[in-house]
Amino acid sequence: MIKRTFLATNLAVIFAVSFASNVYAAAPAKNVIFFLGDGMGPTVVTAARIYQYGERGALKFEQALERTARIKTYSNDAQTTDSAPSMASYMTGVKANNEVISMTAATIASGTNKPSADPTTLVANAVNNCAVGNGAAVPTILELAKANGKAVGAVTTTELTHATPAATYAHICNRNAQFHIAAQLVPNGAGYNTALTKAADLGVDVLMGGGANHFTPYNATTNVKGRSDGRDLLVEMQTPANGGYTVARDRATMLAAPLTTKKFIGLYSATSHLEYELDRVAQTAAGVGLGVTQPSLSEMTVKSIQLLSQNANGYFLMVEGGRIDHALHGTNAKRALVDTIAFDDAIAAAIAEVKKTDPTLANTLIVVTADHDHTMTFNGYGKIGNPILDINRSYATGADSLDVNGVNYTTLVFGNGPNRVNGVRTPLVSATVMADNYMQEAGVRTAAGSETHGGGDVMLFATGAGAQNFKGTMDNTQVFTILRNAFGI
Amino acid sequence: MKIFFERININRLVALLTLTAMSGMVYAGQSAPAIVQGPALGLSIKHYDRVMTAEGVLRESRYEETMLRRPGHVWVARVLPKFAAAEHGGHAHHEHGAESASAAGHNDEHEHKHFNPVVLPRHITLEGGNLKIAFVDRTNKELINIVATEYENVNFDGSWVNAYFLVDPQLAAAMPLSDKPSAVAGARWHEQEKHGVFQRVLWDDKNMIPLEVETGKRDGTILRRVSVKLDPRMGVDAPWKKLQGYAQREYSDFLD
Repeated sequence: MIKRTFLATNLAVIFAVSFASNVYAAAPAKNVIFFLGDGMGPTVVTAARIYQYGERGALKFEQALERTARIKTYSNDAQTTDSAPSMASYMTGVKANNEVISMTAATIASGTNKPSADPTTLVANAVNNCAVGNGAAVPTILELAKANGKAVGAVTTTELTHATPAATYAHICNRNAQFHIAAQLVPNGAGYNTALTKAADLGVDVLMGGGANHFTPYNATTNVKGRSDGRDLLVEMQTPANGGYTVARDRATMLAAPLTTKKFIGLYSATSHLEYELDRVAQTAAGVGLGVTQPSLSEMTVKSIQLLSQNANGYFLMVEGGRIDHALHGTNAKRALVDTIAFDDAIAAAIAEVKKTDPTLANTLIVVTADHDHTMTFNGYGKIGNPILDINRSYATGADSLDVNGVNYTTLVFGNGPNRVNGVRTPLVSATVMADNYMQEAGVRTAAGSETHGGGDVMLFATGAGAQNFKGTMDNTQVFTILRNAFGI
Repeated sequence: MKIFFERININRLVALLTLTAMSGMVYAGQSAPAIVQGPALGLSIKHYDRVMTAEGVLRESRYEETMLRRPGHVWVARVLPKFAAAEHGGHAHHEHGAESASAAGHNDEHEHKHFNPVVLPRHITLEGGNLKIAFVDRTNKELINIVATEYENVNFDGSWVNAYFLVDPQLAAAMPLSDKPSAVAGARWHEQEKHGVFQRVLWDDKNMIPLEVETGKRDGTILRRVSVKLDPRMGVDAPWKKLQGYAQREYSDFLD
């Protein structure tokens, strides 16, 4: 009887809260791992599944994450978002304008607020021009976790200062001001984001990605895309008073880092992003393939979990499969699918690692989603078993599917992209369209690398503590609320 | 066969040759060491395509490029109409007839970053065996460098020989000589045909450059022609010597 009354009372409270402020039932998640497949829209998921496991198979995360929802991704000023406000919506619960990183809705990224080149070094985007009073920072789930005594981390295959990881730990009016974003990570340094401090515990605990140039000083011969202010942020971060970070510049150093390491930053490329997985694992051709020096996303994820798990209060970790998006911008479906598989493998590796200490995920919420879609679509009536990257072949006859001029076409194409034939398309052969570098055809011609994001909804998958609250069609800002409530903070 | 009609077509002639290669022809001498250098030249290159569709529509397209080659350097620029330069916020450039105009290949006024290599001069270099390609944005004073894994995004096949000679001299030499008379002293037609697909090259032995390349189908549905004209006025000042003060960018900078 007492138990029934207690239950009834609690239900009443929960319902009251739900109706009053749309807050979801709290779940006791000690840890939250948020996986973000950049640009991993529904068609990408389907195509990656077929690519690796066939039509009747399933990705690992599809099997492991039983809760699903459909997510609306529009930003404050755009039907089709870019990665900055979409990730920020997940991290802050606020919809901002395109290109804005974790700031209020009124923040303006454009016009005079755009970063500019340094007049001396000529390094692009070196000068942050966000006007004073142009919006305000909105707390991120990473900062809130930190404030509640949890360990926090951000891992990506892009530059560490790229939009998605930046939206977890930085606030800025324009995503392109990456040198200023990097400075927000440096405890006690100019530009530091003090929301990353919890008492004597300074900074983000684990950071991994690419683009060391945003952290190291400009040099006219050896670091032409370096920092124009001359600062060496890595040296600053290594200083004990500034966090005493362990710095890794390659895979071996990362793997060798003791699991007692408290602060860790790994930057595995001198400039730009980490390699596409297809190229990372390639062992041939000089200049292609950095598998020896760059860790896989799975390796980075597991190491991060191991380091963050030292904190008895739990942790928040964001893991981005960031180059799925880049391959899609280039309408290179193969690299996008291979990177999606690497992302899937990282999720599976994370679950296996977490289950060593939390076998039923009673204390850990794992979320997998995308920030936006792309324009890749799935053509024709292809037969079961036809390779997803290949020419579409009829389920009825097995013959090539043909366009109105009698020319064959691939199953995967894009709504827009650089490979757009003006006039009569030319016949395709399997060897060409299945090759690593093939760029699928597009309906509307755009410049190189300028295939656009898609404005359609994306999927979200979840498992573990609090996962049951993800369901139906949700706004991306609601995801933040569920994460926060799952943490109980 | 890989031909992107409206794209940059850096190695367009190679694509033309591929048309025949895909039809089953095999060239001799491909295992010989590649020739990497020939006479320094300034070139005007006209591209023409004609396709008759099954619906009875005749489609034609033309565009022009200028090319400068020197030991270790190839510089190619699309000839653009002046209005294109204005639309892109770029500036017209006239360098001894080398380029009639150039336009900004990306436009920062748009919130989404664009990089259109078609309209930017490209500088291909071979130094100590290292091949590099960069696109030159004069409006924004930027050099956009392309790493090997991103060549496909700018439609570059990574071949210095193809860039420097337009057609591999060894491939041209392997093609049978034609009876077709040449109006140019020192240049001879090579020709072959198989399965209704023909290929003709007017190869200038002295200058080591094709003056004409034609390929197409015997039934007249497809014709592609590239016409090359020597222009000795070009290249008095090597344009790659005027890139001091240019900022270094990468293709990946234009991905969001």
